[in-house]
Amino acid sequence: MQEQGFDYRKKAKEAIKDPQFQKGLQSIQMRIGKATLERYAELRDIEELRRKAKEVRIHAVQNLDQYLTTFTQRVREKGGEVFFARDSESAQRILLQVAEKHNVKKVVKGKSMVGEEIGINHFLESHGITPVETDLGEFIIQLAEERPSHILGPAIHKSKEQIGRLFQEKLKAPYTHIPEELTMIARRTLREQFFEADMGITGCNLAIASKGQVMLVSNEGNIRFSITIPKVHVVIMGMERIVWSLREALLLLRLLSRAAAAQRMATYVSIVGPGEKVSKDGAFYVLILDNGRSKIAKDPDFKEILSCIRCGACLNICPVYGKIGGHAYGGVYSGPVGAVLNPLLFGIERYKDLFFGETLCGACKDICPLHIEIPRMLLELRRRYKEGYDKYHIKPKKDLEYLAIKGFEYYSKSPPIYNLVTRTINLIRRDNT
Amino acid sequence: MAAHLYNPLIKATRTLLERLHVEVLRPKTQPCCGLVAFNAGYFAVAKEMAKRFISTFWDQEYPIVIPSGSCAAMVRHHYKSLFKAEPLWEEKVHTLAKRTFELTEFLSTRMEFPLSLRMEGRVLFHPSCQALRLLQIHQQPIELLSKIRGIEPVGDGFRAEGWDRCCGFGGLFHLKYPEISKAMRDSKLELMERQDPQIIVGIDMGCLLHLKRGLKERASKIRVMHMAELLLEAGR
Amino acid sequence: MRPDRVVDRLITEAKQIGVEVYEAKDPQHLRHSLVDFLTKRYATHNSVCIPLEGFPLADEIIPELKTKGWDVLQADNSIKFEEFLERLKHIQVGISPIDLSIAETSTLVIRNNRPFLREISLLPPVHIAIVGKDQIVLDMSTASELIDGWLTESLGVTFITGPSKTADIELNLVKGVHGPKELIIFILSQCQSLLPS
Repeated sequence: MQEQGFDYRKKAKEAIKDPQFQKGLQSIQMRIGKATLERYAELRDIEELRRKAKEVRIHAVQNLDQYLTTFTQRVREKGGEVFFARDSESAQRILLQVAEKHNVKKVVKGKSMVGEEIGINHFLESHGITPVETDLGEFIIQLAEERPSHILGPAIHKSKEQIGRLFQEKLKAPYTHIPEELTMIARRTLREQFFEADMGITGCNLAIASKGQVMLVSNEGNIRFSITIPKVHVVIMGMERIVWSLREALLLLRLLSRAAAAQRMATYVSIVGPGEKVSKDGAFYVLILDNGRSKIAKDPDFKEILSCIRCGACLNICPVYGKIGGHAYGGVYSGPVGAVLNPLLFGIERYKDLFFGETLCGACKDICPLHIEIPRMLLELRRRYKEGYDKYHIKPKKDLEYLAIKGFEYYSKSPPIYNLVTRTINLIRRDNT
Repeated sequence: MAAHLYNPLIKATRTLLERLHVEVLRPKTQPCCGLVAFNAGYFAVAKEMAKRFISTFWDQEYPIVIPSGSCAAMVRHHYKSLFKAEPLWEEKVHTLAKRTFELTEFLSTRMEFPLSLRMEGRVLFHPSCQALRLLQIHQQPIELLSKIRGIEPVGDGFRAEGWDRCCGFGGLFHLKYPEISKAMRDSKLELMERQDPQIIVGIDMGCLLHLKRGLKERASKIRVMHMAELLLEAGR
Repeated sequence: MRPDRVVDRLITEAKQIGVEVYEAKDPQHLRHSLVDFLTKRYATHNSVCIPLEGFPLADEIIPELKTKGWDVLQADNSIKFEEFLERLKHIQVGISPIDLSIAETSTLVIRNNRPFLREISLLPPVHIAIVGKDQIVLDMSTASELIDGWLTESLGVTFITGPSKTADIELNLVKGVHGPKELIIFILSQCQSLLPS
């Protein structure tokens, strides 16, 4: 769900001036960002693994039709159902149909960026269905009615005191700011919710095409609960989140664990398919979302961004994100990956600040487990914005900046002007230094 | 960038090279590598400037030395993508790139360094993001610094914590998004000040002037110098 | 790698991520250690769930615990699943065998077609996993062949690496968010595995 009229500079400034936000950002970057690089260095063949992983993901992106067809077949063979949704509206419609079929009144959710993309919580609520976020960070911001500020740690901008007051107000819990106690409160509250829910909705770390199963990763165990206790399991999946085999999924899992939270292995990994539900009189659905992805997949300059596995490592190292936080990006995705994805999915003109508001330092590409070339893509976005791009209906910009750049070009190729300007500027500089 | 707007750097580079018995040839008009236009998204303009750059230096064989990490990265790395669809220019770019060097890269890898260098002071190195990540330039300047007698490497071999973190200059970025640029700059300076240096040295004038402005705001006594200036001073 | 080296690797990796590991050299030793451990550690929260299928020691351990005043939930086909789940909510310790263990990350793998095990290893605040030495492989690469076969045959798998955790509140590491707060591994280091393959 995109925010109406978001203001990059304003939100960036707000985050910069917020000491709690800054503290959270610094913490996550100094600790996890750094630790990720150390975890990589532990593996002797890390560069080979990353190269192989990128190959695997690019192959999938380049052959999505085949992968998705096989995946769909396998899921159906095993007793599940697969739906394709071109956009948010159709995804919402399908989800509603499934919910109504199973008389769903309450839904427990694992963290899903795609779910947020289609505005799932708001949609469910408007149809009398209660969505409950079960990831602790998402639960916190759901209560606070805020947006996530980081892909993996959505509540990183909040202090424990703020969370304590939030729980006191919204859950009627006695005030505490001790993290263990706050966590126990959440555990108790959410435990009940799992048992009251009729449906569990999760995202999809990676679908395994040849098996008709999906791999779901968490550290808390909320996903395991969401897929085990309620009778119905719905997987919402971006159409590009797929690999062919188990072996490939495990290769990416290895990198994902290190990149996301500097772990050798994430705490819980569930590889599940229709079988787990069908064997217990339940139901298993996969909702595959396009929402602009097929267009990106056909674009040779940008298809690479679809290989992203949403580890969040780029957020943990980006010096710009490290100051402005996730809210400034005005959309579901933030950080360097968001700076490429949000414009491509939701409008290059609208999100121009995201790709201009970066220094192109390249740290993101370094830390990305797949070495995705984000700086190259940011430059290409700039080019399309400024020089125009017919296919995306972007008009060329002959604005003030263009004039200035042309002026600069002129000055740089004309000796008399060059000499004059240079001398003048250096004169001024000498006076000021 | 520096070439146009910071004459002292050009002078320092020239003098330094001449001290090392390198004959320095300068074209009549210093061409611009086009990085500014490229970064702004005006690839067509950047291409024109790149063509001028290539043509200016095309018909000699001498090494091209650039006292700017980002400009060197433009020529050696980005030119390839600019001329991807034009095989003739692509070839020229390829050939030219082979004889294009960033200054410290040139000094440390392409020649003996006969000058005896001496300078007192606690020195911290600030890399150029572009040169660091696209050209892998950071050992070279550090090596040169290590040759200076009396110099005190601050931190871990002239590097502070977070030494490879962007200072927030980013070319046009600092003009378009000044608050973010400043915030990044101040965080960087904080990390550097913790090491208590007397001099911050780097290879990109843009970054250095940006840091200098920040230090001035903090009324800091830390000197900011380009590698060329520092080596020259150490060689006196 | 020699089998005992693999066991050592599992123990080293497990300890690194906050998992307690105990070794027993034979089923009798395991039985004694387990009962001893339970009765000492959880004296005040003495409730446990033990699956009967795939856990031969259950027949001996259950009566022993019962005589010591423990509330024991036996998980087998004699109990309806809904009732099992309802009772499991109040159980302190879940004991489960596993299907495979990957030493290099101290990961435990449980096949999802094992009745009750997904829930036993998830709901109670304490999970004790029983690992036979010949169930341990060194790395994920070796494991993946086996697991691939399992996925094709029937249901999926669950990997467990350490206790449930989060750092969502100011990056403070807290254990036991939704899943178990404590994960303990008992290794049967000189004998056959407990589960039929």
